[in-house]
Amino acid sequence: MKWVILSTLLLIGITVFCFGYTARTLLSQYKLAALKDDFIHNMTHELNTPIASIRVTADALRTFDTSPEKQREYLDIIGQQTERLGSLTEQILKIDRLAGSHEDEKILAIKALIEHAIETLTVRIHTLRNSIRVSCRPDIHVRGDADALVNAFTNILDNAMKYSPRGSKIDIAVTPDKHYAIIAFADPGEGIPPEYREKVFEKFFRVPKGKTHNVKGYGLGLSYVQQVVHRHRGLVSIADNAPFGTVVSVKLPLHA
Amino acid sequence: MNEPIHLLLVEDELSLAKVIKESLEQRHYSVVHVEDGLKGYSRFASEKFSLCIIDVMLPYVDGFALARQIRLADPEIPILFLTARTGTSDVVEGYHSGGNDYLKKPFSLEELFYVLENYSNGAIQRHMQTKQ
Repeated sequence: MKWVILSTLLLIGITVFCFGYTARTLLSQYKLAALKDDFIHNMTHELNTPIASIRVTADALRTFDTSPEKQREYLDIIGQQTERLGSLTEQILKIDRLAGSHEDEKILAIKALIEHAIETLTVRIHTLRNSIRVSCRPDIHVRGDADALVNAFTNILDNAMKYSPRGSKIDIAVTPDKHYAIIAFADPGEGIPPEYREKVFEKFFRVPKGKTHNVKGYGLGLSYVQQVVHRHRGLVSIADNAPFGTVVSVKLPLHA
Repeated sequence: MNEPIHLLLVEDELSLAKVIKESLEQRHYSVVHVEDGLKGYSRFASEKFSLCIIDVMLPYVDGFALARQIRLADPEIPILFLTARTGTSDVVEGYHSGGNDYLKKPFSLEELFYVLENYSNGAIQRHMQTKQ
């Protein structure tokens, strides 16, 4: 009798375990499928939009008898949209190249890297009337790939400007910890809800806004940042900026 | 010569909107272009249009929400979506929100002309008659 009860309990246990395991597998498959769907939707949208402009403009050139000025204007549109497509593929390739590259690392001053990133965005900073305040000692050094780090800092700054009102002040503060330099980019923008602070580092993920499309982008910038930072044995995280906005913190090992 | 058919084009891709507007004007349509959903509705409320061409992914108010607002104000006006969102669920939502047609990007200018001509021959005429 005792053995029958024990066997029954064991059988129930195995059944419950199998059921739980199947449910967990199905759930992760479901999440994976949803992620894949999101990726395909975003990718389709980002590719189809410039392709549509190119196609319609080429059709217009073929269909109508346009003046030489208009032809030039339309050819410029085709050129710009082609560049946009190129920039999308470039961003995707940049991430993959980074994953496989083993370039020589150099000793770099963080202040110079930040200044370089700001210089890259000078035109936009002026156009948007933003101001960027940097607080960093010149003697804080890390070991790394200068181009990749400048690109990563540029991406963070670019996001800070995209999601902040015109005329915003963006603060970049670098503080040396025991073994790390912590570079904090603080903006007064719309912020990132806590539930998306990990997901924003996934390729093509963008914080859901329904079907509204206030800020254009591919959802690749922060994914690139995370890869660069990880390759430098560092960490990147997102927090609230009081009273509103976002702080993106990059933690990189100090070069003593 | 007949009055040009007056269209509202809501599209945030400025270069695409410019070419569409100029091409339609060559085909004797008159086109008002705005680049976001909010401006789309305020323009619709202040002017009389015979057809609306609306992108889905728009700043401030998306194209489906805009179509629903337009549909409430005018149950007859033809609404055509132009969008790079090509999933089945998007197309279905487009029709549910009151759209009459759904052109997926990238489309050809010829497809757009063809769809508009169909409406010019039918729905727009009916819509204009009901407005008179």
